[in-house]
Amino acid sequence: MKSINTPLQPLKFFLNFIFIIVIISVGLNITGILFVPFFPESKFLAELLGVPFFEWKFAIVALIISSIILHLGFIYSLYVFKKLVVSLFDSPLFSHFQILSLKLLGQLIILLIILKSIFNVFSNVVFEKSESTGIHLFSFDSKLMALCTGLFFIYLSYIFKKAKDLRDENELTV
Amino acid sequence: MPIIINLDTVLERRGMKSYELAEAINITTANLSILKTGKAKAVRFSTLEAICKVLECQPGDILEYIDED
Repeated sequence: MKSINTPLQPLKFFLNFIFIIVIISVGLNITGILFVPFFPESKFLAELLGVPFFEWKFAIVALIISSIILHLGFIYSLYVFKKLVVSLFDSPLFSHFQILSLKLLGQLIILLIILKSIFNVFSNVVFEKSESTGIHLFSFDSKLMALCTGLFFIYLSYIFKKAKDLRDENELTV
Repeated sequence: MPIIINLDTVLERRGMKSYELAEAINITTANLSILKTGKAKAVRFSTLEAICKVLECQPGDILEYIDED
């Protein structure tokens, strides 16, 4: 089966552009987070972590490490997504790589959402913030929506696998 | 798979080569090889019809069911 044709080349360029922008912004964000402990009074840097001031050193280090892990996880997910889209354009559809990438992307999204939720709860407990940690059910930026997206990607990988099996079967029909 | 393809036997009986059959029924030798080695997942009726016509045999001469249990 042929891949999607090239009139969608601008979309590929747009994706690469977005990826570079995100890498730069996440890189700056991580750099900012790494500098937070050195400037505990700085309002700007403190706002990066969403906390007003620091008292508990271990908690801060843990939060910084988990924040960096979340950022790196986000970059990796985006990288997998970029590779997947490029593969959809350039390689035959329903390849083994696409099936694995879709599954990995779905798992990464779900894992990152769970880690982010734990991070938020932990951060609220440590800094005694009174913000609600409840799930907003009917909003596009809700965690539930992101979880559904992750599940959708896993389901899509299942559909791709079925399609690959059907294609293989069709090719072996004499 | 419990369906066995006896194409080799029938071809031998008729004294025909694989490539000759492939040419006669208008399929590639690669596809005929897939059929002969039992790798095929399905056989079109049109292919079966062409094979039977060229080899002057019945579908039962080519296909055989063997119970694996």
